[in-house]
Amino acid sequence: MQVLVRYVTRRRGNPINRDETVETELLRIGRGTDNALHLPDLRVAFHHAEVRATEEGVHLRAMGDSPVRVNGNIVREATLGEADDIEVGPYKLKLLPPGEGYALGVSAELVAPLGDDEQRVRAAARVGLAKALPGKRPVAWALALAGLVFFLVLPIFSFTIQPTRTASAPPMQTDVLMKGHPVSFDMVWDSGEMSTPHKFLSDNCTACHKQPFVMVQDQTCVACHQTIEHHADPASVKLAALTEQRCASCHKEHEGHLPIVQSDERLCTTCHTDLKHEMPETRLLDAKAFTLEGHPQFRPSVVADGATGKVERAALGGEQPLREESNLKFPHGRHLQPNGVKGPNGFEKLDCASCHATQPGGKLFQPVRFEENCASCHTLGFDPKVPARTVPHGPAKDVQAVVRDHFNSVALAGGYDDLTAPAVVRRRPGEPLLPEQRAQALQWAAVKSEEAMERLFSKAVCGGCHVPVKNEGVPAAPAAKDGIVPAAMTTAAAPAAPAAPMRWDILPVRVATTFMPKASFDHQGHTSMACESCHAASKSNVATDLLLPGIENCVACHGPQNATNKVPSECVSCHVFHQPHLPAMRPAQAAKAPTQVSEQ
Amino acid sequence: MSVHESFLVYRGFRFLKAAAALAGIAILAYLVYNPMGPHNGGTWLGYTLGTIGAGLIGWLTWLGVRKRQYSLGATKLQSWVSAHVYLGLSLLIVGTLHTGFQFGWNVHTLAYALMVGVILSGVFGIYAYSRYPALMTANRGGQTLDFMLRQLAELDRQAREIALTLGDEFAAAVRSSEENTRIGGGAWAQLRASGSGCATLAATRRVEELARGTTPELADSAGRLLALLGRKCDLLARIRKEVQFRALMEVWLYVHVPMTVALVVVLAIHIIAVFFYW
Repeated sequence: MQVLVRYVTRRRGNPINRDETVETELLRIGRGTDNALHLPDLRVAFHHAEVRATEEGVHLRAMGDSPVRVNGNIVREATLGEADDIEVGPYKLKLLPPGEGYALGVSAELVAPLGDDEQRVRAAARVGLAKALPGKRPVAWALALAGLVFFLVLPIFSFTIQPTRTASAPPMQTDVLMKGHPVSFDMVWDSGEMSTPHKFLSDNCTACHKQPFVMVQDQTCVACHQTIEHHADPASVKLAALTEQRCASCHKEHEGHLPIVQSDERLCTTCHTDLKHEMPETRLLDAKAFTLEGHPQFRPSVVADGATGKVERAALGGEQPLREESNLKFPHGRHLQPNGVKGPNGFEKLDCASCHATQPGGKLFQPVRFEENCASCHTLGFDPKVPARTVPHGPAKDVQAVVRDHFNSVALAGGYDDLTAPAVVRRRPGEPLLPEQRAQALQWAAVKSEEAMERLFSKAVCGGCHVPVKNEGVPAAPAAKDGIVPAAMTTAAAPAAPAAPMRWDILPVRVATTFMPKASFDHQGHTSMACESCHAASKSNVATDLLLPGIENCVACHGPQNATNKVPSECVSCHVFHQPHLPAMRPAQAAKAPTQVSEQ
Repeated sequence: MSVHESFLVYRGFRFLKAAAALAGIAILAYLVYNPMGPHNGGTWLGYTLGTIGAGLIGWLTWLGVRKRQYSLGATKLQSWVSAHVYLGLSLLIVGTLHTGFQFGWNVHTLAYALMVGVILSGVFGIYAYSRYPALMTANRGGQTLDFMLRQLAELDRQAREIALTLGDEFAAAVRSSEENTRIGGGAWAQLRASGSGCATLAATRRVEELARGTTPELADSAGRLLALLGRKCDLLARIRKEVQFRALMEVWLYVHVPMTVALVVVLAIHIIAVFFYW
């Protein structure tokens, strides 16, 4: 069978045919050179399809799984007509009309050429990030916009709707302050954690920041802190360093765990290094650091005259040791004998704690009390015949009343075991007294009372510790009449009655509660030390010794704030800035009418 | 000596010296200055460093505008880039000291973090610009990317030619190599430059496998095809490396530029916020 194979190419749209005639029963189509219809393209299978002409018509069969389309439909087999479009890979095949000399004619035209390899490669290569990533500009705009919304617009909005903005003082609107924020976008502006005492305000910026672009005002602070006192008397001290400071100049917030009270000694030393420069009239001594050279010697306030109670302030360690005229006689050394002191139960070894007990909190000491600390050894008996009878440790008049009462009582009762006493006093108890006997007994009691008082107030008992005063101008007490003790001499004296001068009296005890009221010393922090390391009590045998350590004692362990080999001790370790006895530093002003927004 | 003077050594490291002096003074001031309370942006040194830092950020950002002003000349632009690089690095020190090392979850630390991000991306940019061009030249071997792509097309054409005479399985491998080989692609693909999933590599392995079982008369063609695909693999590796270098040379800018804009905005907010809640 003769088969016409026509290869069609086109030049400017006009077909150019190349005809081949082959002698075959079966027209094979494929890429391989052994095919009668040879289609040299990789998109065509080596043996793609075959066409056979029979009496019934022209039949096409696809080989293997190679796709053949007839009129757009993939077919495995088909009977072809001249009108059918047959696609094999990129080729379009058509049946030719039967003609002379051949039984079957097929034309093939490459209708989908591969195209330019270079263009294909170039088009497939995706090089450069411009199309692979979102553009820099839109991303930048998006970030900028998000930043503006979340970090500026919303925080300012949060600020404007806060009820605490107008909460003013006094009185503090605690409930408003405590409420916090309904919307807390301004928290993104929080520059750092609040200090511990202010932490409850952490989510409430407007509790303090009431006006935009205005520093936190002192009046906001004193809304709560109403009693914070001045540093120096505002009537006499008008230093700019004090008047022009804000609370927040020293009390810095948003510093996290750091305390709100600043301890930097420069807060003090900027003025106190040379205070006379600012205040020529000041009597304060300069201090610049806690060292021997940088800080004055301690100057306790001490009673210099026991009689008048006059207090003088002078430096320790002068040529003449300071004397505290407390009107007490107490030899510390004798009580701290290494072998102990003789007590009712034999020798007893005393130490500081035997008499000195700390106050609750441990900072200072409780006063020494006779009844608790002395009485077990020091009895207040006055009548050797009745040793159990003692006078109270109290005012001289009470002592006198007890003594007189005792002797009147024993004189009238009789049976007093003293050979020097008159018979009436020694008579058998219970025997009735004649009036003249009664007078005689009371006369004896008066004399006896005076003797006992003389002995009591002398060095023997009261005078052992106190300074007794004998008012010679005051006569000895007259004898009681008819056994009735004059009212003024009894303990039941009318409390409102003016105190009549006593024949015997005791100078008031003037023991200081604190020697250095402008400094604060905490004994609690020093409990690991022996008392003697600061207070040389065992070497002191007179009560006028001031058992206070000087600064040299402190600086042995303590140094200035930048000390590296000592305990760094800033000014505020011992001193306070706000002086408790002074008026308020920033008096709270009356609340103004709300000016910004109405309260919500 | 190279005729080209890098922005890094511009005028005998003039700007390196200036930036080092600035950073040195900042560090010295930080060490010497002992504020009451902790170091932070609110001390006078903090305000000073903050002002210098904000000024630097503004000036450094201006490069983005300045570099588009071609009319002012290339030399001056190189001077700008040199100053931009070194002063930008000194900003890291100035900015860090400004914080006083106080950080938190707030807009202030956000501004700092953005600044660090911008500087670090810039540092990568310096690295890229100083290292990759030489590596790229070596990788291209005197050719251009365009030329290499043309070579690739030619290899495809030759492979097709050979494959015409070989069986359908060979043809499928060649066609797959031609149609499925990817160059570049998404940002990650460009940056990774990985050829492990490469269609040409798979095709090469397939052809190698097929060649073992082929008839002696086709062995020659199969061998030539295999050699051709091997060359294509080598060429692809070099092309991908080139694409990777190009991506690395510009990817940092996709961080640097938007982050700079965000930084400028957040910095402004930082300044406003500090004084809003003074």
